[in-house]
Amino acid sequence: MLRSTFYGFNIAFSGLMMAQKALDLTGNNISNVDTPGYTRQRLDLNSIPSANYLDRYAPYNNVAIGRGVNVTRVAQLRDPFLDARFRREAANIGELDSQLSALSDIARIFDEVQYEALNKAMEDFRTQLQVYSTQTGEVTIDTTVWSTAESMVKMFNQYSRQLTEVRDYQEFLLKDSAVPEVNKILENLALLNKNIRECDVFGNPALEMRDERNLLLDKLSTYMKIDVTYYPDPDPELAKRGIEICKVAFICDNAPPLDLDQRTLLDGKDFASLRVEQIPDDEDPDRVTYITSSGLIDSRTGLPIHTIPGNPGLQFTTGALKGALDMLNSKGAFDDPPNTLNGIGYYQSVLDQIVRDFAETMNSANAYADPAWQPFIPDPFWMRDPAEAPKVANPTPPVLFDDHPLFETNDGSTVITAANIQIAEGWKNGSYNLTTSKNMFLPGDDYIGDTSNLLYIISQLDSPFNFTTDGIDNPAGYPLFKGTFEQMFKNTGLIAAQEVSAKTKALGAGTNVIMGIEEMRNSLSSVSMDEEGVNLLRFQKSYAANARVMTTLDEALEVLINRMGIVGR
Amino acid sequence: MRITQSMVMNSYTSRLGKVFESMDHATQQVITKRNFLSAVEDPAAAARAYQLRKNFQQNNDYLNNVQDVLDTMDSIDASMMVISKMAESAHVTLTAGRNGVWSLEDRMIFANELRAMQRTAIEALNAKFDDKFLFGGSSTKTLPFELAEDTSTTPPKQVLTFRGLDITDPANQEKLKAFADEKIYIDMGFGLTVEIDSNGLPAVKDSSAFNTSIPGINFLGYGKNPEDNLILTLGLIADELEKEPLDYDATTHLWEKLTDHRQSMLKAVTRVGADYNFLQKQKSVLERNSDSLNSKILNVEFIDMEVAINNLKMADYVYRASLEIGTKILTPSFIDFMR
Repeated sequence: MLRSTFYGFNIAFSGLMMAQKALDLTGNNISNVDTPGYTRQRLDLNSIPSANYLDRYAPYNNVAIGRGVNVTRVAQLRDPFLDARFRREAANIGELDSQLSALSDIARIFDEVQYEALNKAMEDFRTQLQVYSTQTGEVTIDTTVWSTAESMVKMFNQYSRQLTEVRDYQEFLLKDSAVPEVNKILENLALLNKNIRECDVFGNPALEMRDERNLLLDKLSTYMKIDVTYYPDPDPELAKRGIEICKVAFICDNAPPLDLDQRTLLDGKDFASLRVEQIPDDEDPDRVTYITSSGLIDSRTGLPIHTIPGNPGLQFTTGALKGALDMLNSKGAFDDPPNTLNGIGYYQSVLDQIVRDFAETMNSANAYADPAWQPFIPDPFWMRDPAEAPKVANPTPPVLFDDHPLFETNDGSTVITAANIQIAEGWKNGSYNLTTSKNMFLPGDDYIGDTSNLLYIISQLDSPFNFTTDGIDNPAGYPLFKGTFEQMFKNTGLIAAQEVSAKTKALGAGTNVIMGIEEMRNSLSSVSMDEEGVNLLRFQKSYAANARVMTTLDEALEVLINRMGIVGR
Repeated sequence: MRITQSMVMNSYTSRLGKVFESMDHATQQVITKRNFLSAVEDPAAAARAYQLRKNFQQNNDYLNNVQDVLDTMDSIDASMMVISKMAESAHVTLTAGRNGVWSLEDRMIFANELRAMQRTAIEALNAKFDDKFLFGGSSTKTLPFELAEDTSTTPPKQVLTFRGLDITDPANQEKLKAFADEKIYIDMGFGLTVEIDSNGLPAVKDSSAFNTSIPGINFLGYGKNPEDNLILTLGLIADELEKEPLDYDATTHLWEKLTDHRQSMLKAVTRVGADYNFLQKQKSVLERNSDSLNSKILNVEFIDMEVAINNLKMADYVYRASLEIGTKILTPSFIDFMR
């Protein structure tokens, strides 16, 4: 087949077009060098084969020359395997981060490294009891003891309030920040899915929208462990063209297990939404927080596509939502069955338990013997004048009265907690004092100097007890700690500190891993200014060269058209 | 591996953040002089610090208690020395005089002296320190001793009461025995143990705390016979000395009793002295403990300023170096060299 006269211009034109597109693409890459989630793009090129390759009657010595270059598509450089790895790790980090948010606040409440608080107040209480033991009967010292006790009690109240604030804040984060954010992400993903499909149908690759979708999927993966799958479009024609639908399902540990449909949060343009529920209600101190899924909702009809049986709350395997739920719901040793996951409830329960045990122990230690009881009674076997009967030790023990409590509740409830404990009114207003001696029963004899009961109270502060979830030495309770009240309290703060320390280290390790993965992703997908600079030069030269081809052709045709046939004229 | 500007930038930013964080930490260490700033930073050290602080405060409590008891014992010792010296003086005079060379007049003078001694002794026995009676046992607010004359008998006899009980009344003996055995314990760090006895009442284990109670009747004596008590014995001797002629046997008997009482007093004074010395030693031990705990607290909680400043200098150096490197690695790329 004969070559057309202007065939070369078409070849040069294709080269110019390619170079122009390549320069545009390079410019686009450079302008997005700092755009989060941007994946570098490149042109997929192929050379256009000669038109007479398939010429049936071509002579055997025919030379086929290609017809220039063709830009087939703009492609992205991205590795789905790295995305999956990144998202798995992001879920672990999300969980640790969420737990640390609560635990750090708790550890800060109990931390007395720089500022003295409850530990010091408890020590001061003990010190004042010691001072009182050398000054028994001095009302002013008794006043000092209760005022020290009052600072301690106020600290208990304050710690309890601060723990409640931590819980409230974590609930706020979950209800008003995390879950709405997840729902917003799902809604945006569904919209993107819809737009991307439409673009795909029109033959536009919608690469920037895919970047945005990947970025949102990365974000979603910090909240929960997700599986992202792409399946062929249900329309066979579109499927043939390679158009895919994006589907996201979360992984959970629900029993009985949820099937894939029930776990699906996003399928093309349809999406589910999550919501937070609290049982019995958000005012109840023992409330349990759940996250439930609406199931996939049909975006056209607004009706659920799948229903989730029972909807008992989603048991996420990892992620920020799981971390938040664990912190809100888990009471560790106080749960049934007991576990080692110490959430906010654990610290609230331990604090309440210590305070209750402390108050009960102190109140019981402050009991006094029946004033009518005499340690010495006239000898019952005395046969002569009863008035002269010698006094002998009373064989009947006295009844102990416990109506001189040191601590009581401030809300009329019968159960003392860290929130409601206060100094007993009777002690505070001087109706009675610390029972320094239980032997305050002999009319005419004072036992003011007797320190036996005061030392008993002090010894209760220094005695080790077996603390359990149901009170001291209770075999029905789960063992918590063996030690003094003070040690038990300090231990609680140190548990929080150790948890934060361990989780911070784990978070550091996880962050290193995810940074490594991110580095690999960036290595593949992010824009290199050096490369783009080189490309600028390359495609500029390419453009110039193609223009030169055109000029050369022009000159060649000049000879053909204007100079041929004028020889000898 | 392909390296891009954003990779370098991200990595640099993250590392620069860490370097700045360590510089902030080093600054805080210098400002606070602390080894660690929170329990989270070093839970094991925080646990040690908490324990040491508690031990330090407890040790100071014990030290205050020991000092308080030592001050009280100064007064106890002074009062007991007054009584002991009187008993000694009475004993010496009686030993010299009971051989019969005394005239009635001499004996009357000595008898008066003895009665004056009784009054002085009672005053000493009712001594107070820090608004507490020293010799009342566990009764510290009620006058412990009273010496009265019972004129209903012939001849009138002296009655000594302890916490309102006639110490010679047979019906009171059980109770007086209990009074004499009364203890006032103070916790001085011997491992305070308080058990509940069969009556359901707290009983301090004797070796676990220090007993500061010295009921007067413990060293003065008590019993159905007046001569069982030092003060009454002095009165009885005075009565005998006022008799004419002097009953040598009766006087000898009372002299023997006085000898016993003098011995008891000496023993009691010696015991107080021994307790005082023991407490002085205990005070030294507690003071040493206090110093040792203080230095442990310093070691665990606080940082040497040389180390802290060195750390800060190093952190500052690293931070500056990081910034310097940043200006070198972040700016240039191929594009900067294009023409």
